[in-house]
Amino acid sequence: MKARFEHQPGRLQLWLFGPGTGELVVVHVPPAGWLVVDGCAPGGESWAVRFFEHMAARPALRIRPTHVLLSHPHLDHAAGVTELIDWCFSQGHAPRLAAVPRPSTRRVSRDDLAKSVAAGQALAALNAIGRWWKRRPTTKWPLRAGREVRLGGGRLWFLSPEQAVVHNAEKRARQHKPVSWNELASALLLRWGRTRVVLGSDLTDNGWPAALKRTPKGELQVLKVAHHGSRGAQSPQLLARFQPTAQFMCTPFAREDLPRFADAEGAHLLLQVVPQLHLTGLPHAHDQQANRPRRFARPALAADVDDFIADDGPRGFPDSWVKLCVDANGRRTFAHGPGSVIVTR
Amino acid sequence: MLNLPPVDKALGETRKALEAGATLVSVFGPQGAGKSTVLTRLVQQWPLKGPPPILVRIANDDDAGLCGLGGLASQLFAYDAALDGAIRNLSLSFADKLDKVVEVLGARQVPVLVDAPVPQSGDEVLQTAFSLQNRDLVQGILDAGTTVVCASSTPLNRKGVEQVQVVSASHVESVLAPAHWNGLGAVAGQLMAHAGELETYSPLELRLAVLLASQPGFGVQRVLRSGWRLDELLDELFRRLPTSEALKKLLARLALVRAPISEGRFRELTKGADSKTKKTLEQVLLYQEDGCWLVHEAIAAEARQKSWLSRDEARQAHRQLAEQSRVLFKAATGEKDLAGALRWELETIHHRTEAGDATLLKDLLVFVEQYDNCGRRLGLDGVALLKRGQAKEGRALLKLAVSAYRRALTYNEHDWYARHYLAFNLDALGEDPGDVEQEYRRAIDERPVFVWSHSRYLRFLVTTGQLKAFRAAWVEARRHLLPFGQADNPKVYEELHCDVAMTLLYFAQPALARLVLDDVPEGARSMLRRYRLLAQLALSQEEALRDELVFPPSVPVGDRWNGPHLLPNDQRPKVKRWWPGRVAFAGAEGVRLRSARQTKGGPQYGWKKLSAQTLANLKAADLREGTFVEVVEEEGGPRLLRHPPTGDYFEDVTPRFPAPDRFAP
Repeated sequence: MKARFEHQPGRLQLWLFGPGTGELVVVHVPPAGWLVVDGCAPGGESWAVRFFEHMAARPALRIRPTHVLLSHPHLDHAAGVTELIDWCFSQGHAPRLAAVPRPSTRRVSRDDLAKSVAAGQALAALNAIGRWWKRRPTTKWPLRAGREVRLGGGRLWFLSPEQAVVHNAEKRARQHKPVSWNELASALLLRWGRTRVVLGSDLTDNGWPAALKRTPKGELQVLKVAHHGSRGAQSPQLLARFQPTAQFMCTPFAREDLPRFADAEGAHLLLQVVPQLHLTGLPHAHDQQANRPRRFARPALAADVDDFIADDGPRGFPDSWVKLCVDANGRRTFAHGPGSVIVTR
Repeated sequence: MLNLPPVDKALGETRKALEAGATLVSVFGPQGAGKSTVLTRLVQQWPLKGPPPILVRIANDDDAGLCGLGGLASQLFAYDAALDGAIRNLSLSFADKLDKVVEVLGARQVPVLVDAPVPQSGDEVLQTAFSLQNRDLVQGILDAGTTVVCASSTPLNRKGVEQVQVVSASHVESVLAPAHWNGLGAVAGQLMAHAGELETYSPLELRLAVLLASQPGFGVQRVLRSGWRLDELLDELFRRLPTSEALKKLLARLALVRAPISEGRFRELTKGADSKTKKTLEQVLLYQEDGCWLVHEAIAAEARQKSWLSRDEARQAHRQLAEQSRVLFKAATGEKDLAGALRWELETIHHRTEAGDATLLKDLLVFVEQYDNCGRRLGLDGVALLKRGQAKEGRALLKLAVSAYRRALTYNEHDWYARHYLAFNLDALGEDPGDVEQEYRRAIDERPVFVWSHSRYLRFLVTTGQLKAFRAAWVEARRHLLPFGQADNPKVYEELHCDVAMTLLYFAQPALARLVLDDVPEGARSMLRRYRLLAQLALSQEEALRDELVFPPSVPVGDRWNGPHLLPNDQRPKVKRWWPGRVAFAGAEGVRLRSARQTKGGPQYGWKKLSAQTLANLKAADLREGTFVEVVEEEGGPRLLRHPPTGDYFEDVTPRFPAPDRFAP
């Protein structure tokens, strides 16, 4: 299993980590493109840093982030991003950095400390990005829907957020009104050869119609499912662009019990398109994930997913991951780490 | 009119000590006891032959050291005419100028009478540039090798010092003598009958007591019973006096005048005040010396600390005083009175600085350090505007403050104070982080033992996500500020450990916050206002990062399983079982709780779902995310207890300034 986790030069690879809270996407596009989207930090340790430190054991491969994106300043997605940026520059790497606008200045609430902690992590990551933008303007990676950028031998497009949505959110933040940061999530489309991968971030349903207008016509092959497979984020128009041969990858979010497996819930909608869903784990805390890959049929999980809390505990990094590998001919293979779950119909 | 304190005894002792050959006399006593009066009288009754003494008053303003040195130097022009040029030379630092003045003092053996607070030792890392200037000035005079008489509230501890304490019971009778109290003689007489109880009162406190006792519905007995001292007497007096607000503001404006106020100027400054207010001022609140009026320093300090004037009122008053000082400066210049010209020029600069006059930056000042004062004033005004939400105007002033510090640094690149505040203002503006970092580093290099440079640099590093650099800078800060592992003054832990931990917790770095907080010695922790709160928050954040946050920070760890906490003590015996939880997610279909249970191996955490129907049955349909709940099982069935939403925030751990999102895109 370890060998399948390792970097395989010359192939498009997508590592997805999701230990229950947090979501880290690492994409390699040959020959030298390395994209990191968001982060996770179980126990306070940045897994993005762990990933690149692990890969640095093979220095000849020059594995280093070339692009880092905080897809939206929300809850778990920012964990470990600050540490990754700090690590990159301390190693002499200067990736291009992108982020959506800042949240309004917050206060530390006694009532909902978990949200305060998450907001603190998001703001720290945004400050770190802002610092490098000012200090080294070449690191600035402007985030505009429709914008295209070269990533290794591939192409990457920002599908969202629309400028009008950003302006509206900024205005609401300035007025101290609630802002739905998921609407600002930056969904991406990656094209490498004939392979098209959609990284859905946490974009919710009402953001997808505009995002899809920016998506080139034609079949899509891989989806990093939006917003942890929540029902509201599964756009029928988006799902209609995939064939049953496509692959869907998803991270759980324990706090909100996502994805859900009952009829008409997110997992069910996804499994109506593809025969199986590749989950990095179940919606449990990190220490309740299993130390091996598992496979379940959706109906088994539908009643109460908490019945499947593992008592053997996770192995520690790397766990709670799935990896997609695409060779030059477009052939796709998957690897599953400890804690991951394949959910079938 | 108010009498000068009766200080004959102290004056006599001082003269006697000097006649006996003492070269250093420390005159000490409580606030308002008459120490300044001793020095004033001593100038007139100097017992020694040789050059007459010079009186130097060191005030409490930021430029007190500079103006003190200027005042001292101006009185030495008669001995060394070149001193004027040296003092005005902007390429010389305060320290260089002090050396030159001390040299003249020593060479000419000019006695000096210093009216100043005694420099404190033991908290070097907390000293500002201004307090260091005061300290260095006093130290320089003491080391000049000439005769020095120093008046201060605590005795001077130095080898060979003669100490004279200014306390006397006799002043009660002198101050309260009814003949001195036009119209209030009866009240003063009644108080005099209790002279024995009033022995520890300073002359100023006695005067305030007379005025207060004369107010309707008050009386002597009530004043005596209250035991009120200076600040309480003033507070109560201003509550009682019918025109107190106007009087307070007038007094505060007069307190901004640092030189003795001539009769003519006094009339000008009190123009428009009614006769009753003027009478109260003259009879109780001011005192006269050599035909000039003075506000007692104790009252001036109250006016400053309690902001009797709003910032706008103070700015206007300073503007007026700057204009008056400028006229006097021009007159002295016209009369070729170099000493007077220097003193009034310093006063003009002082008042223009305090008025927030940014045009000063275009002028050549006397001391290069005056640009620092100017920067500080502009910076403070800028911060006040930013806090009021006037971002554009506030930022404009911070940029002017940056210009002021840059100007200071063009003359003296080793000005650590200017360097530090240049860094801090650039930081507050969210300017180029490379510049901010470089200036903080240079400020630390210039003065490694200044706590604020380290504290602000560390917070800048956390704010901009430089966590590796933070660790290295933390080790360096400890090496410089706590070379023996512990601080003498707990304030160092407030300024360094608590402030840094607060920023770390704001940015959700509990592990680093714990590293910092654990560095505070256990014995010092109870002395720090924020320590317990910060430590609790660090623990809760660590739990939140592990998805184990159930109990609120207000429940101490050792008490967690002695619940249920949301039930009154008398109802607890009826509880069969209970478990705590926190609402992790709330939706239309119900809530998801993070729950905990106590096991032999420690707490175990799980998830529990409560459907909308269950919540309705438990009468808890409107639970919000983040709410701490306890489910208790009793005879009548289960009950869900919820911690009421407090809407409460950790005010003490939320940085207000600079804005924590200043570097965000």
